[in-house]
Amino acid sequence: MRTLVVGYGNVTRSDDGVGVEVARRLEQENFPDLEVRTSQQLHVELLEDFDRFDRVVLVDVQAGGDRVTLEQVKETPEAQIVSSHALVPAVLLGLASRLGYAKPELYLCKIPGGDFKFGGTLSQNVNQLAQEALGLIRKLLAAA
Amino acid sequence: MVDSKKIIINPVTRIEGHANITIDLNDKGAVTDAHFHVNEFRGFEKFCEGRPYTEMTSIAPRICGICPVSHAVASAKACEMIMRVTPPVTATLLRRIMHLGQMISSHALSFFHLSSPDFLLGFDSDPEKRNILGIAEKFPDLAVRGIRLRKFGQEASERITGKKIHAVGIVAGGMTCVLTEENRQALLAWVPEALETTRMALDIFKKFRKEMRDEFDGFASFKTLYMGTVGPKGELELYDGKLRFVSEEGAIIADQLDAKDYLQYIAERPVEFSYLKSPYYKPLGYPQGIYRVGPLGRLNVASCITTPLAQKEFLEFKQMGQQKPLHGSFYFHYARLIETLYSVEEMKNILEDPRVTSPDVFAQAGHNQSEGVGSSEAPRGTLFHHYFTDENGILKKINLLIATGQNNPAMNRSVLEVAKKYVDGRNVKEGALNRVEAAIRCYDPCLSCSTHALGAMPLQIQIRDHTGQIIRTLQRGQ
Repeated sequence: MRTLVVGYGNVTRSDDGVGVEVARRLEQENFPDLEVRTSQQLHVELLEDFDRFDRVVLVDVQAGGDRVTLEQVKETPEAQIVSSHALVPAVLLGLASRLGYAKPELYLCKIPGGDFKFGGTLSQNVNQLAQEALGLIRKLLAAA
Repeated sequence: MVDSKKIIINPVTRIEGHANITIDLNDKGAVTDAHFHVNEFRGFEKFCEGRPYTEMTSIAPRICGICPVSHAVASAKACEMIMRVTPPVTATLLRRIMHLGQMISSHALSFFHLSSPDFLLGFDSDPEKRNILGIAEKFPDLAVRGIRLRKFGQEASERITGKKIHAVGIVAGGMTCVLTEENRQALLAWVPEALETTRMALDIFKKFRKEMRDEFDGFASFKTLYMGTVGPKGELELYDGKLRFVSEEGAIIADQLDAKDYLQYIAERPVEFSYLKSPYYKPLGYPQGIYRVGPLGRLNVASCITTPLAQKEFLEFKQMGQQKPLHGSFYFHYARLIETLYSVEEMKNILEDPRVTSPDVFAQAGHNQSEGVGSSEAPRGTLFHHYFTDENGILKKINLLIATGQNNPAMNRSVLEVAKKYVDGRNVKEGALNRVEAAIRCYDPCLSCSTHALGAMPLQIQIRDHTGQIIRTLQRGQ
């Protein structure tokens, strides 16, 4: 099963960069049929690559919350875009439907973050949660 | 009794960054004043002090995720002045390709994602659908084309440097990457589709103009000076060249100015309501010296365009203004599309130059003087980087003059003009407020890309009395 993992966030804003960090760690593990990318934020241009993958896993920070989750994303036709800086996965899937793009299984791994101040390192707690997220993604990859 | 009120649009949507608008009303509900507030403070100029100047080409692209190549280019040029070095021809060609790609990507984002909902769905259409999803629903082919045009622009950087955003590879002295033959061919293969999409966008724009002619020509239309970069014959130039100012009537008032002397003809005036300063043309003072930059500024100052399809459109553009500057802010969109056409054509020309795949892309030099100035056109206008270093090459002072800042006085004026025309304080309609925002969108301001937005940003309007107390809050659609 061809899988793309995209970790995104702002690595200069401490825990905001946890998605990127998880992607980097995953890349070291050399899973077969896996492509790993990092990005500052989610872009609609990702749709152009959807037909190359059976499954896409997005990894992002979540403001608040207390546990790491990995869930399949459902399409939300009502969702809005008011800024190119605020695209959410459900909207991406909605756009894929409306524009005739391929629709791979889309998953979102959300990691709760607590420190969004300027800084290039994760807080201790989020560093541990990143490992937890890796475990969930590994499990998903192995299940295919 | 409340004798004065304010309407606050906070945040302004479908722009790059976070800002808000305040509209002041008198006791009869008529607009008396309006301001565009930029509340972000970035501090790049300050925190770069004390760092080696050679780091600036890596730091500068982080200022913006939409125009990182322009920052990298202006920074590299400032550093190269400090080093007294000229990059190899191939390095300049590669930078130009990345720069044109960025122009295409940014302009496509502005037109298709941010502004086309107003053109295609209408200013007064349902705000819940007046966005790219609404476009996807009604015009799916166009939405796909918009996404692909932006992707093409991003690929220009990716095919050279391996990275789409926050341009890497541009360094003082040249480039650290080369273009392979495979990647050259891959970029060339995009050109026909990119041209076709741009021409479709031009058709949409012209149709909108025809249907909405009265609203169009009078929309945020007021006279200012204009500034932009031109080549030796006055041709449109985006990467390198000299600066030209034209008057309200189109007369050239200063020409072939060297960017390194920018402080001789541009001064900045701080304003109390925004972190953006208000620059002006120094010889005329403020406010007579207010000028506009960006696509409209560049086409209003240019004498011609060097590529055939864009030149044909440019002649039409000039004809619309009867050979004088076009002052209506909606014409920014037209100018943006003409520049997109030019960028695609010019990128093809460069890709067909056999020197473009040469491995000779870097020239070495050390610290040879203390001061350097670099400039480049960014999608939103002329950009300046000015560095002062000590004898060891450590930055002592930095001045960045950003395009959006130069349009600040005109953006404020645009908001005021549109608010006066469309906003009735006694009956505030969403469509009228959308027009106020659309006036800002014409300039496609880029306020910050480093802020990682969480979630959607709804439009909120607060009406306050003259003491600052909120007396009413409105949401979109109410």
